[in-house]
Amino acid sequence: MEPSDEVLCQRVAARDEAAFDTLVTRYQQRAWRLAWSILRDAEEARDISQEAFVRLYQTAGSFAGRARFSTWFYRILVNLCLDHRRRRWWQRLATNHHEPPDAAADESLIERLPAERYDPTDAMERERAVKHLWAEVEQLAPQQRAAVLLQVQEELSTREIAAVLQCSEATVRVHLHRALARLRKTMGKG
Amino acid sequence: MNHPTTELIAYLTEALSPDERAGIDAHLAICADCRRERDGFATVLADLRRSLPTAPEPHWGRWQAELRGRLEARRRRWRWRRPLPMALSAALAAGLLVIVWIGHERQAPRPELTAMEEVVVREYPVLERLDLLEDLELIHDLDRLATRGEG
Repeated sequence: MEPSDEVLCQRVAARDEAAFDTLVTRYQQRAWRLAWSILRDAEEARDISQEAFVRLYQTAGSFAGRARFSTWFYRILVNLCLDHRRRRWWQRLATNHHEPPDAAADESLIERLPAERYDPTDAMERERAVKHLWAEVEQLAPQQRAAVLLQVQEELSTREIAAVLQCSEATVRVHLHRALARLRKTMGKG
Repeated sequence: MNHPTTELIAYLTEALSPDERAGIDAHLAICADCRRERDGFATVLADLRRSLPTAPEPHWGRWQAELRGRLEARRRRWRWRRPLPMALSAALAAGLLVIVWIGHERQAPRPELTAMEEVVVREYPVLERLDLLEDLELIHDLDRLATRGEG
């Protein structure tokens, strides 16, 4: 029987290289996909997903086993992604190529946009609407965006998302509600 | 009426306890606004899930090789870092010892002083005042008083 992720992580803490390789093989795609979804940049996703595994190796001893390994690892990864986005924003600000870090805070901007209505039978219209939907996901506040991605892409429960984002379950529900309400408005489904 | 708006997504993703779920069900049965909200959220969630953007796949062999290189570089740094605090602590302790020793040396009496010199150094403030008092007549004639007594 294959050892569980949690057992492998304990072995990594004891510097078992084979256990580390197994965890890398199990999680590399998920780590890459989530990092890319949050950062939307292949180079940055490569850098951050690798860094998450280095941190995993370094801090495996601190994994207490109270949560699932995946939740603990996602927390490392998402924190790295959010920190990176924050740094990137400050860098852009310093070079005057900035966008607001928390676009969701500027509700008036989205409210001024005309709500698009789309007919699901029309393929082209639908494709455009989907593009628009994901462009809007990009504009969500970092925590909301992470919550949405963890929900729809990684299929984590609100409790697991709360553990990853280190906040309460009620806060995750608020994040998801605000994010989806905004997306719904953009899609003209409200 | 309290609308359970923030709970609707948890309701749709089946993240609620049976009790919470029953409460929402009961509310939805009587609230058309919340039913509309629920359906709207359900559609957006379904759209998001259906249209997840595909991440461009990296070359996994290269990615893993880079990860190994990065880990090895970090290990080397960790190896250097570990003895560094010990070396720093030792240097600090040695520095403190030197400072304490120098202070002690300054306070300690110098062995080359004779007993008379030690008295002069110790009583210097009194001797300094005696110089001033010499101007007074009484002090000036002290020697004479002593000779008279003897006689």
